Amino acid sequence: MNLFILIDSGLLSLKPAQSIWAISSGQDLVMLILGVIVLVGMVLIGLVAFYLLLILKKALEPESVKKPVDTRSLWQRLSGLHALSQEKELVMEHAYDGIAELDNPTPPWFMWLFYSTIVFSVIYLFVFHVIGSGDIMAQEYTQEMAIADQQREEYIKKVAGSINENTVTLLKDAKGVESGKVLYTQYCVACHGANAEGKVGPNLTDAYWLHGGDVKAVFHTITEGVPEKGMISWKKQLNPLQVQQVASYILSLQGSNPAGAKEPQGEKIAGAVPVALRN
Amino acid sequence: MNVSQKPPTIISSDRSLLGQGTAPAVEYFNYDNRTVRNFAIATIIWGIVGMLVGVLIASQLFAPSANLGNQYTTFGRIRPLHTNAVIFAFVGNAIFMGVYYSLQRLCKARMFSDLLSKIHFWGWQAIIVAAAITLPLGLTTSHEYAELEWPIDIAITLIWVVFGINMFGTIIKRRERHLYVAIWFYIATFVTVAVLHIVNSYEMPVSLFKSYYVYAGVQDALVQWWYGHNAVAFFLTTPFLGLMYYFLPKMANRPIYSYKLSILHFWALIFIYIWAGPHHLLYTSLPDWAQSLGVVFSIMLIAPSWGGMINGLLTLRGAWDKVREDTILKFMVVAVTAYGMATFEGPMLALKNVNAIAHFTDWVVAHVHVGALGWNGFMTFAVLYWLIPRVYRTPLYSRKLMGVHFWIGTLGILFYAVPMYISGFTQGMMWKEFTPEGVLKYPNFLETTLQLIPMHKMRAVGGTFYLLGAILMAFNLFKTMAAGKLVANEPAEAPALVKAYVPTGSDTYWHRWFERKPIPLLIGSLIVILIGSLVELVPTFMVSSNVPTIASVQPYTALEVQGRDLYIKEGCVNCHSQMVRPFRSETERYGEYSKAGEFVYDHPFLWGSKRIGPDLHRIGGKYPNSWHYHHMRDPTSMSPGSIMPSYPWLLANKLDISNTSDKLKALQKVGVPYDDVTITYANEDLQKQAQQLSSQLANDGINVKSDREIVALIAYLQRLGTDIRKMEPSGK
Repeated sequence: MNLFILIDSGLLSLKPAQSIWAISSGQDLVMLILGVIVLVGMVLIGLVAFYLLLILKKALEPESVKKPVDTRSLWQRLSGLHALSQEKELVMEHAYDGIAELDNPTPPWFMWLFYSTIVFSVIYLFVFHVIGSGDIMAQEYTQEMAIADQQREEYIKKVAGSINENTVTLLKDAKGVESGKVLYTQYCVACHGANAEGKVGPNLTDAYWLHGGDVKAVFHTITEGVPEKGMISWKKQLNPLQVQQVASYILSLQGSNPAGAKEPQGEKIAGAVPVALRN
Repeated sequence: MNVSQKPPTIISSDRSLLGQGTAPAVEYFNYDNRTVRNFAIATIIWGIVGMLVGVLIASQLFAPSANLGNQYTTFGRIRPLHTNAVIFAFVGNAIFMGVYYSLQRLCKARMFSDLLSKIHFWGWQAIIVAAAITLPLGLTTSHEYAELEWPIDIAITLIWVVFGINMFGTIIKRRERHLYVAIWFYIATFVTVAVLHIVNSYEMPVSLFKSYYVYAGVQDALVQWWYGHNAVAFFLTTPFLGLMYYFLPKMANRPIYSYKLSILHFWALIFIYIWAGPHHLLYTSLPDWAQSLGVVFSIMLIAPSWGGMINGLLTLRGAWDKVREDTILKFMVVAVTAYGMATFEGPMLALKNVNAIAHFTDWVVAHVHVGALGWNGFMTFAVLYWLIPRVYRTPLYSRKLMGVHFWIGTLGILFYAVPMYISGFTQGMMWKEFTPEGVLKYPNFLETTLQLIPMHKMRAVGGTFYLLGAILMAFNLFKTMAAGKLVANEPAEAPALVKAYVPTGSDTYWHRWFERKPIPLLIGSLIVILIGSLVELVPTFMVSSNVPTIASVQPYTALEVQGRDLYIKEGCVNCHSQMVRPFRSETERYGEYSKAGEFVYDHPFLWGSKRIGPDLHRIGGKYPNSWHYHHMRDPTSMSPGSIMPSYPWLLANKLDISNTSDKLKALQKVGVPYDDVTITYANEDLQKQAQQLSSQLANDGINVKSDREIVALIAYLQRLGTDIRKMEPSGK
């Protein structure tokens, strides 16, 4: 196992060489063909030698004794079991507190299971730590993120078009505001309260704003967050369309005077926003 | 009558002719049944206690108020009580019961020393009582299944040595030349548990009931799961395989299927098992090479563990008609089958893609309970039902009741395991699901928790069934005991062993040689288990590239150390992990994935093994202090529907700062770079930071004195996982 450690620490780094199948010149091609011919030749010679061995063995061996007929069922043969009637011959000479042991062989399927798990393990370690760099997790993660980023970009292009901080507009259709409400309930209630009355975070229903109260400012605050005050950046979890919806919903609550409203914070921005959407 | 009065049938042609000349004189002696009976009663009582606590904590997962509103019975503190009671009290006493019964008979000798038997029995019970008192008090080291503080650890070591001397004394005084396979398993169990316990218990004491692990972060995690995994192997598996090899052929009156298979799977099992610990740490900050070893050795473990199962099941070949009638054999068949299922599932869970879904969820809970309820529980029941009537020379009080117990227990296992599998799978998938917009479908962790509540209710019902079965058994067995009279000293006879021995026939094989020599067998087992341990542990400690250092990671402040100790005391680690894995779903949900270098001052590591609540590694700075205050006071006020209990005592209790300097000094000794000035002025620094935090809370309208426990805890939570951010250029 020291090998893996050496590889990990870079002492024995095995950079994957260029693939032998990437033929770049005529010389390579000739070498490859020669190699294949030699290989085929070796296999043929091996087969002939084996055949000769069989003939020799038959010629030299005396007439073999007939083996006793195997009376076991197909199932017993497959599972490597002896017939129960043969059990007496298998009892071993020791008996511990009356417990006898049989001299049954280990079942063949069991041994094959064992061997195949060992083969699997050797291949696994070889693939990830000899051929590969051994940096499995980090690679997997980078790949997963790259795929996700690509999908996200495609999706945003499709649905959110060109909504950004400068182009965002206040939505007034009921559907858009309703979607904003769903998102608000999911993400914002914990800090701003169920009716935006303010809890840990500020009250969002009065005319006082800490970071600007028009739709562009609210869009910016949601997207980028105000990390030093505990407001996180939502741009990874909400796409621009969703931020627009949440911002529109929040602004639709202006002047709703919910119960238990938190005291005003920030500057009063009068008239910057139309009071509610209740027209 | 299920008590056989027939003398045992000796199958060997003539024992005395095996490798010796003239037959020696027969010796008369007594087997000690009293100790066996004592362990049996302890098994029954602790079993019921452990299961009762299990039902209680299962209920707390859908009804947090089942913590009875006090700090001593909250989930975090009594979940370790449940695991310890079931593993070390119930199963532990069952092991000793079985070993003391079978070892005497397999060695044809009384236990080495009655006094040691007595010390072993009462010492073990005293340790259990100590655990039952200290764990609810919050005295814990937080290493799973090794939570007990250092004085109890030392007591465990001493009692384990007593057990070892008693066992080896008996083996050495035996009248049977060869050691039967059951004894190989007992020996491997003894030596490995000793190694595991000692290596995993290296702690630096602060006071009588407080200590810090010498290991930190990644190294601590590896040691803990090397221990934790092999506690399963060498406390819950190998001793029970030994018991199976003795009790199953006795109960079924059938010969063991294959001696060869028992040799092969014994050595393969103990060699391979010890390597597989890192499969508990897949996708964590453990280096990739160690994770891969965990994966491949878990896969290679399938066949060796199944060796025990097929040898057991094939031993029943030709006795299946008996299984239909004999409830004891039914218990055994379910036990062996459950073992086979769990040992197949284990390697599958060690495959990284399966583990990515199952880890931190109820899937693992289901997995271990198939093993615990099925394999350990049912085999213990079978042995109890078989053994009590024999040592009391009386038939079982009610066979019908035993039948009821079997069915109610089996149903209990099903009702437990099936919902937990569904629950685990559901949760694992929900954590990973994204919407087409590319955001998490269930961004609020709580949603995934609330989804599982019906499953958790069913699990509690299953657990209650199982507990009811055990109560029926207790009634049945105590009635049996009342009806009979204990044969405290059971007469036996056997010819003494002659010194000169000439091996003959198949006795000359090297494995036969091992079976005549207990000490070489002990050393052989020790070497076999040390190979895997050393290959994994030594490089993780010695090769520095395994834990790349991060310059901005600094030791905790005095207040944060106190807060961290409260986190440990309340058992927060039982529900919250501190390990963000390198998955898109986790980095989206929590933030940057956890790096090995961030944990270098964590004595002990607190990565956790299950997420009932969200991961906390990046919680620092995520919410304002007031959020944490309200969340601890009443979790539902911040997260409606939360199943976290409230912690009002943290708001009321005064923080004990009498030992702050001692704590920092102990941490300094284990490698945390505190300078002497920091240690001397620890409490001044602590009070300054607490004052600051308290005034910040006051700004948010929360009046809490700076000397309350909550302040320290908030300080710790706000620090978690923030050091790494200091590396980034400011303004980004």
